[in-house]
Amino acid sequence: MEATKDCTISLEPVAGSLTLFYAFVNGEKKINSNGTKKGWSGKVPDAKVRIKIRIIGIDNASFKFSFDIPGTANAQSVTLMLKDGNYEAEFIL
Amino acid sequence: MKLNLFYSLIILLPLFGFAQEVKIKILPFIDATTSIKDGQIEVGPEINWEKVESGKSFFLRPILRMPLTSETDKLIEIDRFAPTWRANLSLQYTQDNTAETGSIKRHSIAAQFEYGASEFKYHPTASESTEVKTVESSYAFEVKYIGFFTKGESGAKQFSPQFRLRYSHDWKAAKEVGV
Repeated sequence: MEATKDCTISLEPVAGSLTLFYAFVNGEKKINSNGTKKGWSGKVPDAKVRIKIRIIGIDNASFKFSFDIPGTANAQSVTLMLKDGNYEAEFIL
Repeated sequence: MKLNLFYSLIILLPLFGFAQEVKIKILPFIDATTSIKDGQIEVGPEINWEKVESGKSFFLRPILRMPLTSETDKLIEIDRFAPTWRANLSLQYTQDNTAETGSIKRHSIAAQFEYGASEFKYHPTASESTEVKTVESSYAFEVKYIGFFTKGESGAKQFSPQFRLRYSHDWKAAKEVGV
């Protein structure tokens, strides 16, 4: 399917010690960072968008996940906390 | 005001205004970096290349390090010829094999080469009038490996094996001796 929609995602540390940030959009790795703020912007297909994030750190460190798909999910952000050094979540938009 | 002093101030004032370490993006893959540590300034570009989808990243950083101040003369040295300097070339390649599911696997290999020259003064006849200056070269190289492995589950153990091999040939001034 042709990619027509704009998509912007970012991951950034908030508190504690974060080691690695990963974000996958429709199965493709788009963010790979050593715990520092990183973003990605590109086009995604008009159908549903699947975003998976994987975060590694120490204990209950927290981070902010932001995403913006104009017309589908406008400029959203959420602050999340690791559970015993790990966090994984999948968003379908 | 001498022209040299004027140019020095133009360069130095923004540096002092900034924090100890500054990174400015000058081109898409190139940052300019400066940092001030222990009275020394490091200046140089940082060239980054990254292919996120395949987990490959590479950076190359050539840096020139020289004294910002002279400990003995209590003077700022950057506006004149610094007799002591060191060039440093570091490169790092990272392969991250982490996928959407499964364990986290990451390998980094880094290498660094250094070359520098230092000026030494001494008085062979123990008299201030007979000062002899000599310039000596120092060099060093190192290789480093850093791995990171974990299952990617809550409470899973995180392993980061690291290996570093360094060889350095350094000249340092001896303490002054009174006769």
